Amino acid sequence: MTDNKRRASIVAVMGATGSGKSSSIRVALDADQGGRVLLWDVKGEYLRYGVECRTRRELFDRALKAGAGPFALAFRPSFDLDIGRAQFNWFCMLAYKLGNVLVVGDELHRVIRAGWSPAGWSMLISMGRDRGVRVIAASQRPAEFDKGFWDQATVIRGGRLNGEASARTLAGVLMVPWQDIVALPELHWIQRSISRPVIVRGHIAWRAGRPVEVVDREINLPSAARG
Amino acid sequence: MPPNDAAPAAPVDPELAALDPGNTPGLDDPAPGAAPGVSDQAGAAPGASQPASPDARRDAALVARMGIDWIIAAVVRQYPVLSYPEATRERAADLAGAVLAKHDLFGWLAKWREEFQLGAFVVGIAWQSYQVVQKAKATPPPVNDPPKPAAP
Repeated sequence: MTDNKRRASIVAVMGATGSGKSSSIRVALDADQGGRVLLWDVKGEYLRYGVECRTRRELFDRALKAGAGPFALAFRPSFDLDIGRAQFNWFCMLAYKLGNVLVVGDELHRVIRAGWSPAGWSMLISMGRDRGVRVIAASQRPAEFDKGFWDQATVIRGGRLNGEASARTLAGVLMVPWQDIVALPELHWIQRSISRPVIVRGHIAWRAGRPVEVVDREINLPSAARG
Repeated sequence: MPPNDAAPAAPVDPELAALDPGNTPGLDDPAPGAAPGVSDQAGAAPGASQPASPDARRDAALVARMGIDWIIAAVVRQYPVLSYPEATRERAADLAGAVLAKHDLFGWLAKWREEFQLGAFVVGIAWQSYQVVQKAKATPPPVNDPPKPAAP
């Protein structure tokens, strides 16, 4: 099932280095049944989830060859920031055109800056649902995502952030005190979803060499926050 | 099966075809020694002496950048009084990476990585990082603004 009934699914995973973003993404990939995955894999962390594509040509040809069928492709973008940003725009447009795909973008702080994001990314976020595109976006800098992204996000997960400005941005979206974000231990997270009016706290544990999610507690959102 | 006997390929959506890398040049890493903006299908400059492969350069650049980032992060964690915003730390690492790129040290690192294999390369970077952090530990952290003298 790749269509996912056209439900919006934009998952934001934020946190500093070592806070557990990659582990959270791995849990999501392990659970995904969509069958079509495009990974923006800067560090080559997700090669067990997709065929490594070191050039755009390789990615494009493999995706087209799959047609409407399943594929899992991990694109290794350029290390050069300017080239990487241009590639990310192309990558997002490709995902949009392909449709019915889970797009996983890690280390997006390298390609999205405050006040500017590639047109392809904006298209993916605002209109991707109509084409069955689901998104998992991970970054170390929540402050660089625009309001449109936060308005569209269906699940927001925050790990530890070291900087106050970043923590304040994330705390505002999660509706928790920013000090809670700074104080999170490694691999612990706070999550809010549009589907339930609760704040969930949990952590990533490793069992049999695999990351798994453990929910520690749930707290009802204040009624004012629930609107 | 010979190509002539192959079934005709399904028509490709024109908008998708427009994204073919062949129709969107200039978005790939230049080959070593090639002019900027040339796609990575181009060959190396004539006369270049066995340049490091693009993959090796990319790996070397990434590992070096991660090493730099790790050093800066470790120092910040060691001395929270410095209290660099996270973005500053990231940009410092980017800047350091840009300096390495400007002087083509990635090419040198890539050659090193090819000769000594990735494991030894990572161990080398980690060891250098450890040395820097040990040195940083032995250095007293800078003090924030000194206390102001009491008003008369």
